[in-house]
Amino acid sequence: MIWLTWRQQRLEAMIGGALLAVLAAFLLVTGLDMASSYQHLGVAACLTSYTPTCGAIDSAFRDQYGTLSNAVVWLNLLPLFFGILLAAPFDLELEQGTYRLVWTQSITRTRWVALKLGLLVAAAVLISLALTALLTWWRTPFDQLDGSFAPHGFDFEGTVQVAYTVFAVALGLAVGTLLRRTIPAVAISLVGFLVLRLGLEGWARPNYVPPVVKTTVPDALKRSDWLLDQYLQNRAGQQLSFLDVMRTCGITRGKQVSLSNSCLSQHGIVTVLTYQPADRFWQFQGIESAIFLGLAAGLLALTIWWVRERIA
Amino acid sequence: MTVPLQTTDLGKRYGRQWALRDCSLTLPPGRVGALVGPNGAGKTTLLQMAVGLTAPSTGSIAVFGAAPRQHPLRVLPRVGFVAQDQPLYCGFSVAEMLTVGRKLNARWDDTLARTRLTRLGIPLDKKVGALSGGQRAQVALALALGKRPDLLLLDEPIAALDPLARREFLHTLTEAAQAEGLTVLLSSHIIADLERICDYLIILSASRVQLAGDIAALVAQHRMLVGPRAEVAAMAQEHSVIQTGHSGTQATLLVRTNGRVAVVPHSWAVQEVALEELVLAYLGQQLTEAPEPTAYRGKGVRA
Repeated sequence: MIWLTWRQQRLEAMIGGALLAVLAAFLLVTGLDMASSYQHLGVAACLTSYTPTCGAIDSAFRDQYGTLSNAVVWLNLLPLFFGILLAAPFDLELEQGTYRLVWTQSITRTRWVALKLGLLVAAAVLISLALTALLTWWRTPFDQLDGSFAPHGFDFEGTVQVAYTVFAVALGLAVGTLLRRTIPAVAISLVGFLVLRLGLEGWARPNYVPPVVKTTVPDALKRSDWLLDQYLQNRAGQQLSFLDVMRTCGITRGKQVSLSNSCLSQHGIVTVLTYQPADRFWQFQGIESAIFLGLAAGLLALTIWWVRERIA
Repeated sequence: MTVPLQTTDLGKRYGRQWALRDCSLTLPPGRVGALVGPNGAGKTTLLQMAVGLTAPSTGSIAVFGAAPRQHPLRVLPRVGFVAQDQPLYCGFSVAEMLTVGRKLNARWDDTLARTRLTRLGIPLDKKVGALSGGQRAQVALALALGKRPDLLLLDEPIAALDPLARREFLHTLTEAAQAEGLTVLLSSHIIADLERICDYLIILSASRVQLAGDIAALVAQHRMLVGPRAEVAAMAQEHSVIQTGHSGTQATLLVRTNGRVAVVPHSWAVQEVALEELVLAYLGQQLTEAPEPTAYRGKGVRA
C-alpha cells in the first residue's frame, strides 16, 4: 500500500518537491542577505538602546525589505496548494473508478482508506513543518522588530501552518470523496479554505480572548504586542478625529506644526489602544490550530465513513 | 468444497428503484457461468455484491460460505474480479500493475502473471494507457488470475473488444479456467460468444432472475413448436409457453417441456432450440409473468 500510494503520488511529489526546493533556495538567499543587512545597518543595536539615528536605520531596513516581506505574505497560499496537491490523486482514484481494482485485491477498504489518509496527513505535517522552520528563520529580523503576533508573523510561525495544511488536505479528500469529481472538488476546496482561513483571521482571531483596552497619555506599547485599534479620546470620553485634535491644539491648515504631547495632556486627550498582549501568542496559536485540526479530524472521519459505507 | 456463490432472496435498492430483487441462485463449483441480461438488469449489482463493493439491501449473499461485506478477508483473497471497463492505472507500466497485484495479494503468483502476458506479446515495460483495448483487458485478466483465485468474476469483460480480441480473451479465460479448476461467472450481452465457453446460464432481466441452470439441460427442456396460428390457444393450455411469435397464419411457440415428452398434434412441428433463441425468449417475456425460479440443487435443474 505504501508503495502504491507513493507510485500514485509520484508526479505530485516531484512537483511539490521542486516547488519546495525553489522556495527554500529563494528564502535562503534573501534570508541570509536580510540577516546580514540587519547586522550591518545596526538594527539590532537600536532595539536595545534607542539613539536618534535609529529612526533612519529602521526606515532604511524597511525600505530595503518591505516589498519582499509583503510578497512573502503570498506564501499563505502554500498550505492550500500542498493540501490540494496531496488530495488530488486520491480524488482521481475515486473519480476514475480504479478504487474498484484496489478494493477487490486482498485488502479491506477500511485498511486502504486508513493507510492512505495516514500517509497523506503525515506528508502534510512534514511539508508544513519544513515550511514553518524555513519561514520562522527567514522572519527573524522582522520578529525582533515587530514581534510575531500580527498576521504577517502569526500565520507562518508556531503550529498554525501545520493545522492549515492538514485542514486543506482533509477538505480536499472529503469533498473529493463526496463528489467523486476532482475538478469541482478542487474548486470547492479552494473557496472553502479561503473563506474559513480569511474569515477567522479577520473576524475571529482578534477576539479569541477579549483584547486589552488601555488608555495612555504617551502611546506606549510593546513592539511584539498585536495592535488592533488606536484612537484619540477627550476628557468626556468622546472619540476624536485627527482634525478635531488639530483644531483643539490650535493648528491650522498649512502651518507646519507637529502635535506636541504637552498640548494633548493639557486638553486631557489620551490615546486608547486596543491590543492583544504578546504573551498570548501561544494561546492564540493553540486556539487557531485546534479549530483547523478539529475540523480536519471531522472531515477525515467523514471521508473514512463515506468510503466504508457509501461508495460501491 | 463449499459453494462458490450462493444468494438467497438477494435484493438491492437504490432509492425507490430496485436494481436487483428476490434473487436466489447458486453457482456450482467448477462451472463457467454466463450472467446474461439487458443493460440495467442488475448484472453489475450482483457481481459487485459478490466482492463486497456493494452491500445488499435485502437477503444474503455468500461467497465460499462467507458474506463478502462482513468478512472481506475470507472472500477477497479467493476471488478474482475484473470490474466493468477494467479499471487500471493508465500511468503505470504493465510491470508496475503486476507489482500492485504482488503487493496487495498474499497468494500472488508473479511468474504466472508475467508468463501469461509475455506469451500474449504484451510488453511489460509499456504504459497501460498506451495499450490497445484488447491488451488492457488481458492485463486486467492477468491481474485477476495472478491472485490464484478459486472464483473469477468478470463484469462485461468483452463488451468493448473487437471480435479478434474478444476471441483471444475468451481463449485465455477458458484455458486458465480449465488449468486451475476455477469457477467463473461472467456477465455479457453477447450470447454467441458465451455459448462456446460457458456451461451454466443465469438470465437476469427486469431486476429478477428469469432462468438459471446447466445450459445443456436448459436447452433440452425447451422446444420450439411451429403450427397453425388458430390453434395457439389450445396449445397454450397444454404447454408452458415462454414466447409466442407469429408470421402470417403460422405461429411459433417456445415452450418449456419440463422433461416430459410433449405430445403435439400432427399439425405442429417440434424443433430443438438454440441457446440464443432461449435467452431471447426469456428476455422478451420479462414484463409478463415470471416463471418459477429455478436454482441448482446438487445436480441438474429443478423445475
